[in-house]
Amino acid sequence: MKKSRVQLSLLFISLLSGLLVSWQWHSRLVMAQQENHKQPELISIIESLEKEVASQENTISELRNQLENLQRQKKQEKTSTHELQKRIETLLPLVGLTPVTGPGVIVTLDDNTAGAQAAKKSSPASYRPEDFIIHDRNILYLVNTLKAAGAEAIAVNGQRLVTCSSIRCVGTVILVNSSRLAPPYEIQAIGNPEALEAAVQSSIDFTLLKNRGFPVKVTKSNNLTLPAYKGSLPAEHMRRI
Amino acid sequence: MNNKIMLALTLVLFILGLLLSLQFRTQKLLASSLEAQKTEDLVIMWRNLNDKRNQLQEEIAKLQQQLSVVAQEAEASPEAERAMEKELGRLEMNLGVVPVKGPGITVTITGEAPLLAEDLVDIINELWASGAEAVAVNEHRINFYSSIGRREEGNRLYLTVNQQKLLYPVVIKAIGDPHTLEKGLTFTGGVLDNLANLFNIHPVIKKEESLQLPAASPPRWQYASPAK
Repeated sequence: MKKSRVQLSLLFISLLSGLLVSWQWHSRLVMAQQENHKQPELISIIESLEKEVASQENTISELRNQLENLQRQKKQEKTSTHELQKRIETLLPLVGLTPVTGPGVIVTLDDNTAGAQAAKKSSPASYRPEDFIIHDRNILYLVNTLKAAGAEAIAVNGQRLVTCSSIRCVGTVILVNSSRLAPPYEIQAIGNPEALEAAVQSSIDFTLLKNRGFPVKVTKSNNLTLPAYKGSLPAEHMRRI
Repeated sequence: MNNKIMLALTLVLFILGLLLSLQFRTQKLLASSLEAQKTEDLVIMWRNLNDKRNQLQEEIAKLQQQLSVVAQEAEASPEAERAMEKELGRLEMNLGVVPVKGPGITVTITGEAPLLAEDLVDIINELWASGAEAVAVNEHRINFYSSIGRREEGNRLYLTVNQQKLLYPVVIKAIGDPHTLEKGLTFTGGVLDNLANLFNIHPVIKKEESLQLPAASPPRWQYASPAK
């Protein structure tokens, strides 16, 4: 009884094993058959495509990383150049490199041709032509007066004044920013019109010219537009500390 | 006897387990292997892979182009930044809002004979005309906005720069080519010639290899605005 039960189970196990072995064998056979029957070219093409796609995907993730790094770097540079640009843009008008508008005054100075003719006729011996023309210093000192009264931008006959501008004469020709000017001279200054007018009216130069019969006048304006300085800003010798 | 059977059983069961696991693996391999797929499926897979490969190729080309553009810009931008820094420096120096150094001359005026405000305006004007790049009077940096004036205090007359009085000796510092600057002031009939002849004022000019000029405070506009 006991023996037969053991034998029965052994038989069962052996049967199962046999089945499994044959199944395994069959599977291998099927695989071999498949290899024989299906297109090996197609399979190898697919396999090589899979490899290619995998390496492409690697390349793409690498490229994305590089791009991201570069863009991060660029963004930092961009913010710093953006800041530089902003600082430059605030300085340009203050230096005088952009046209500017605002209220202010126009001071007009002209040679005293009427006085000159009269003097020539009445006393030709003591006639001195330089007594009847506007000199560079008349303009220079009036410009200084306007600055002292808070002028924020000044132009003389369309020549915008900057830090390194000079006003002087060569012979009887007045040069501003090394450009030749001809009378009448028109000084435009932007600032508080009342303060600028008062400063000009009470200045020695303007008063003297007026008293000597020069056609000079100062007029307030609500809306002046001054051109930009077009010359160079020399900086060959100086360095910022 | 019983022992022998147990041993045989164990052995058989072991082999059975081994076979089972082997079968499982084979079966799994079989199911996922390309060889196990139908030809039509293989063709579909091939087409799909081909499409994917082409798409990825396009993506790579796009990324590479983008990368080269960004890389070029990144390469160019340090130069652009340097140029902008230079431009900014030029503006700041001209406006006098940063201290500067360089060669030039000093003009020293002692207070023995009183200098007029106009004389100081003349000297500064002549320095600009002679190519001065930066000018300072005592500790005041001169820029477009600077004005020269005078003020009476008690019975003393002071020169002023921006309404602040100057104490003697008045020292004018100008940066530029020292030789040109000196010549600009000293030519016959020039500013200093006039001062000497008319007022007996003899400023002392000294060429300097290195001068340091202070900064002026940044100007602020109330009435003017940049024209559009």
